[in-house]
Formats: sequence, C-alpha cells, structure tokens
Amino acid sequence: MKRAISKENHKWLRIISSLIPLILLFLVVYLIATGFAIQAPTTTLPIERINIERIVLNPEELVVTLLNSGPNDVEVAQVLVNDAIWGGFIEPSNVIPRLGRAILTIPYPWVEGEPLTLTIITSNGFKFKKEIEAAILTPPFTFEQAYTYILIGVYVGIIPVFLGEGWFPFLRGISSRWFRFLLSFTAGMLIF
Amino acid sequence: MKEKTEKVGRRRDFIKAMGVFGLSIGLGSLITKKVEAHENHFPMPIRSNSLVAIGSVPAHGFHPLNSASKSVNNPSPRVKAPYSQSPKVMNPMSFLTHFDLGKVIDSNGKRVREFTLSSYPSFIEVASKVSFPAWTFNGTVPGPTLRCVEGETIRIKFLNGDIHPHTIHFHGIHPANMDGVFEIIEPGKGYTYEFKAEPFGVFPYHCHTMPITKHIAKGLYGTLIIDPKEPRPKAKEMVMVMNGFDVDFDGENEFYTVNGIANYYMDYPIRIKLGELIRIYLVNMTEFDLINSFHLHANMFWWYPNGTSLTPSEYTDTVMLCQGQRGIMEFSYKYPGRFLFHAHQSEFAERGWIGMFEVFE
Ligand SMILES: [Cu+2]
Repeated sequence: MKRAISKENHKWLRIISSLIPLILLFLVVYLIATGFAIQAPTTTLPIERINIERIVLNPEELVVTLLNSGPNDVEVAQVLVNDAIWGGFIEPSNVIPRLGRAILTIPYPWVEGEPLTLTIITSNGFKFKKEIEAAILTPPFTFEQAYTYILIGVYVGIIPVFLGEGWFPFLRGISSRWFRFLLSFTAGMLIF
Repeated sequence: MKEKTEKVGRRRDFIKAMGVFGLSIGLGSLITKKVEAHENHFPMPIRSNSLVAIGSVPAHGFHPLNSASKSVNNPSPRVKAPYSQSPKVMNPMSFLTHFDLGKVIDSNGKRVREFTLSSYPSFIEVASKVSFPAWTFNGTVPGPTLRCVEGETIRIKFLNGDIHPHTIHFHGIHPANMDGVFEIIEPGKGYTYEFKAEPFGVFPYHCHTMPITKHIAKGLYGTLIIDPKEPRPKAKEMVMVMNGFDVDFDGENEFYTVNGIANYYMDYPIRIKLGELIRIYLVNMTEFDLINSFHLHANMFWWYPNGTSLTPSEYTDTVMLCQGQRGIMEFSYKYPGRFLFHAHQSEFAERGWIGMFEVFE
C-alpha cells in the first residue's frame, strides 16, 4: 500500500516536473511577446530602412518592389537612376508603412547590357542603392517558362527517387547490418 | 572506409551530374525565352513626352499613383520643387534679387552700416519632399546677401542661437580679430564684427569653426557684396550661390542647387526683359566637390573674376569655379524665349543645378 502510494506520487511528480519547463517556456514567450520583461531600446533619431527587393526591366521602364524593413513609416521622396534625379509612379502610396511594400514604376530609357544604379532617397535623407551589373529584359512569365521549371523539378527531384527505387530488390537481399549502414549513410548524405 | 568515401564520391557526382543536366536544360530554355522576348518587344516607340533636350529629365519626384494614369506612354506627373525651404523664410525667387542693405546708423559720430546675423538650426526642404537638418544664418541656406559700399564701416552683429559653436569668417581685407577664426562664439553668445569694407567686389562669408567641412556642408555661408564708390551701370541684379546638400551625411552631395532648392528655377523660371542688362553675382560654396560651373544657353556673358575690377577678363558662356571662388557676370538676351542655365558638369545639372530664363519682349 505504502509502496503503491509512493509509486503514485512518483508518477505525479514526473508529470509535474515534465510540465514545469513547458509552463515556464510559455510564460517567457508570453512576457517577450507582451514586451513586459524587455523594453525595446527606443531612440528619437529617425531610423529608416528600405529594401529594394526586385527590379524588373521592361522596355523603357523599370518596375521596382520596395519593402520598408525599418522600425518606422517611410516617405519616399526622390528616386535617382544612374545618379540623376528621376521620377515615376509609386503605388499604393509614397508613404510606406512599417513592413509594407510599394511598387515603383519608372519610365527610363535604359541601355541593354550596361550597368544601372537605382537610388531611393527618403524624406529624412536616407539613401538606398541597388546596382544591376548588366541590364537585360526581364522575361515575362509564360506557361512555357513554368513548364521549364517543372522539368527542372522532375529532373532533380523525381527521377533520382525512381532510380533509387530500382535498388529496392537488391536492398531486400542484404544483411540488416549493411542495411543499417546504408540507411545511416543516406541520412548522413541528406544532412550533408 | 574506403568503400564509403567512394560511394560518397559516386553519389555526389551523380547528384552534381543530374543538377548540371537539369540546370542547363532550364537555363537553355530561359535564354531562348529571352531572345523571343526581345523580338516581341523591340523596337518600342519612344515616349512622346521625352523631356528637355539636354539629356536630363528635370525633377520628376513622385506622386501617389492614380491607377488610371499608370502607363509607359503616360507622362509621369511632375512634382514641383518646393516654393521655399520652410514656410516662414524667404523663397529663392525673392532671395535672387534681395540685397540686405543693413541699417545706416550714427555710432558716436561715426557712420556705420549695421547688419544682424543669427545662426540657428532649421529643417529645410532642399529638393521636393527631402528635408535637411541645416545650420543656417537667419533661417535659409544660403544666408542673406549683405551689401554695402567700398570704404564704409560695416558692423555685423552676430548672435549664435545654435547648440554648436560658430563664427563668421568674411573674405576681404580686415583686422585679425575680425577674421572670424580664433574667436569661437559659444552657443547663446554673440560677437560684433566691424571693419572697413574693402576692396569692392563679391565675397563669400562662412563659418570657420572646426570641423569646417561640417559647418559649411550644414549650410553656414552667404554672400557679401561691396559696391564700388562709383556704381556699376544700371542693371537687373541677381545673386546666385551654387551649393550642394549631403542629405545622408556620407561625404558626398546628393543634390546640387543655386540658392538652396534643387531644380528651383526650372520649376519657377526667372523672367527677364529682352535686351535688358542682367548682372549676376555668382558664388561657389559647394562642399565636397572641388569645382562647380555655370553655363549660359544661347548667349555669352562678360566675366569679372571676384568682381574686383570694372574691366571684364573674359567673354564666355561657361565659367568654372573652385570652392569659395566667385565673380560677376553681365549679359543681355538678343532673342525672346526660354533659355537654360546650369552647371556644365551634367551630373550636377541632373541632380538639381539647372534653371531657366524666360525672356519676354
Ligand atoms: Cu559653425
């Protein structure tokens, strides 16, 4: 009886002890999420960051995707192409909210094969640059292109698996020691 | 062990081979696509709104997109240069023809021409929507154009309203303690510069506190004109201070201007009368770049280096000025119409140092 009770206690103890770290983890996550424990360092200086994510080159036109990855809203004030003040359209707004995106369309007579530099200047004078080493037309999306990508996928992802399947009868015949070796070898390769 | 490495090698080779095979097929088809795309899209009609014929598109700036207007064939709406650097200060159009004559007072029986200059920080708009945390004389960059006559005693009462120490260093002839170099004026303090205005000519003034590059790049400079006792011939007079703004403080200018706002006189052309004599006091206060220049379209001008002689040295359409260099130009237009003036360094012109005269009959 005594032993049973202690065994019962032991079981509860184990459950509780396994739960405590989990509860603590949730607590920590909660505190971090609510910003209770850590006060994020603040500054009165404006800090701005814009990522020029993508530049699509169309005939006589650049289409640029901008991401505001900084802590504040950012107002795009000027755009320079090859260091000259240029301009264009920006949508949905020239004020990009935090973590928001904007699409910039710039009419520009770019020259094929030559480098191109795009500079964004914000209302607070922050400057962000992206260089294209050699300007070429961005191919438009087509089903043929999609087909190509599917083919690549088939070549590198599906065909090797089928080739591997061919080994199955051979693998069935080998000893479990060798089988384990091959399995761990494969796992190692995958990790590699 | 040996067998294992061999296998690794073989498997790796296999993967590599497959990868290269697949990639080459993929790339091959991409390249074919590109060629096709070229054939499909070129030649494109050139946009009908290709702007001014000097190869620069002056200040487009931005507008929030109105989806209906988005098209390669639609001109992008132009955002004009701001009309002034900040709401309460003189705009560059007034600045162009404004000369601060000070106040002539009687100081213990001595005739003195007195000016007041205060330095204080201000956020100024130097290009459409671009704000610059400037250090100013009286709120603008460049500071006011002071004007007096040769031989007069001038007194400049300086008050430093900034949180940084400053001075005013005038070019010209004056005593050592009036040179604005060793007497550093602390925040909240003042200093009175007093000297005999000589010789006649056009002179820059600027802060001379270390680090000087910073104090000039931030905007502490202006123009002092000393007229000859016998005045120059009657003319429509203007002052143009060429400068640059390093808005991200990386040691190079993003924008170039005359009188403080990029593309200003492009968006607000300067109207002048046909045949009227124009006299421009031109000063180069550009920091970081060694030289700046002025090029006048469809005309020639007489050039008086430093304005210290009444005889011009040159009849030209372009002058090149080093940092701090200046002079006076005189010309009149023979034909009506719109004529550009700009730095002949195309890079500066395309970054805001460009303007237009509108000559009317
Ligand atoms: Cu200073």
